Amino acid sequence: MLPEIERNNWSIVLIGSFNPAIFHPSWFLVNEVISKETAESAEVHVVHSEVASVTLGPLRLDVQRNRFSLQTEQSPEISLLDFVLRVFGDLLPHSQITQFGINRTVYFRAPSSDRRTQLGRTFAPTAPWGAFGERIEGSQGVTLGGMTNVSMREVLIEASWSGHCEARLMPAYEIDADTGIQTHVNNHFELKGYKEGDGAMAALEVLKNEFEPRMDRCEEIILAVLGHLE
Amino acid sequence: MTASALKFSGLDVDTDEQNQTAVRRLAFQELAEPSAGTRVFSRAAVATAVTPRPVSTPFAFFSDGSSLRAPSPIGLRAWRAIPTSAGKTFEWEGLVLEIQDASFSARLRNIKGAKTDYDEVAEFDLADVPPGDRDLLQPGGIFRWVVGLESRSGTRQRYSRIVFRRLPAWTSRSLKKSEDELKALVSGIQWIKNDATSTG
Repeated sequence: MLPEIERNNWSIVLIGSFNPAIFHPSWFLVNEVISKETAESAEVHVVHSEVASVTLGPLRLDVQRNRFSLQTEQSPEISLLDFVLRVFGDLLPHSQITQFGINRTVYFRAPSSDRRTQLGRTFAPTAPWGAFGERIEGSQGVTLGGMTNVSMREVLIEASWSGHCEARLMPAYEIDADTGIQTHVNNHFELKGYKEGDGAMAALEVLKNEFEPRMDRCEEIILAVLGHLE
Repeated sequence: MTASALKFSGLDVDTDEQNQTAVRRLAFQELAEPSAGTRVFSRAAVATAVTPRPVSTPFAFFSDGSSLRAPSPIGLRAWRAIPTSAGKTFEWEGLVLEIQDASFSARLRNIKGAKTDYDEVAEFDLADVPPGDRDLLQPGGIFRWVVGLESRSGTRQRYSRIVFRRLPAWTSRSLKKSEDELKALVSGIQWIKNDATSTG
């Protein structure tokens, strides 16, 4: 049986040029991006010309002048895509978006501390590290050492964009110091030949087409990792 | 109660309507109790809305409630049949068909988790629609229905969540344009009459 995922996080990150000051719940309400109920329960952490941070129901929005990040821990994650397409496709199509990321992070527990160590040894064997690796292999108890972070990158090149899919595996101390594990997958896209004035639509077209297939890839990677703990 | 209880029962076929109306019953053995808000499969709704025999997944819905199907169970669109992590989440996209006094019926398309490769019809209580989404509840409205288990602060709990999609107008325009193009294409097809006397 596969370990249960205890925490999920999905996010879309846009890189470009933004005006954080407009991203207030009342602006989203007036433009019918969110419901009245969501606007009434929204939490405004800060809305300023340099930075905005608001919580809109299950969505958390963080905006800086060059970065727009929308994340949620609650499925269906398609809500992220709908929100971004509505904001930038309908309302702010002239915003500059040159790069974007589609991300997923999951947190789960290995059945035991030993199983987590085994998982680490599988993804980062100690033998190639020589004497350093031998000492780690022999460590135990409070001195137990091993993999702290491993990343794998798949390079992606298409006609209108290039990018990569990068997966990271590391311990998740916030879940459990001995057994917690975190897997993060970043799908990164950079538009080819983007010119100032191109606006947001080119990026949105790619985002719209790639969101669900990339989420499936995230799932595929996560299942591969989980499969080692079955 | 474990997540392994999250299973569909098999196909439930009416003996008097065999080979005509195969009614798939989504029987969440422990999960989809009335608290999950779903009187799964009203026979009345199914009888009027379900296709005689589901053949494949629709990959496009039209505003009149009809759908376009791929020619085989392996559709033209990428099929999201990858089981979710640890198999504990099911997600469908729903198209609202009809709204009654206290419930609404919807055609469901599997997004993830379920093994079915065709659409199904289910009935939901209106009370399960979040108040903020009530204005989006109308025939043709699109929503996601997610059912699963989640762990919050160490406590595992079941959930059933209906979220109506606030689709951007520009993609709706694209969809309408594609729909119009497709209809124009279909209406322009010259069908060859079937000649019953042909021996060829």
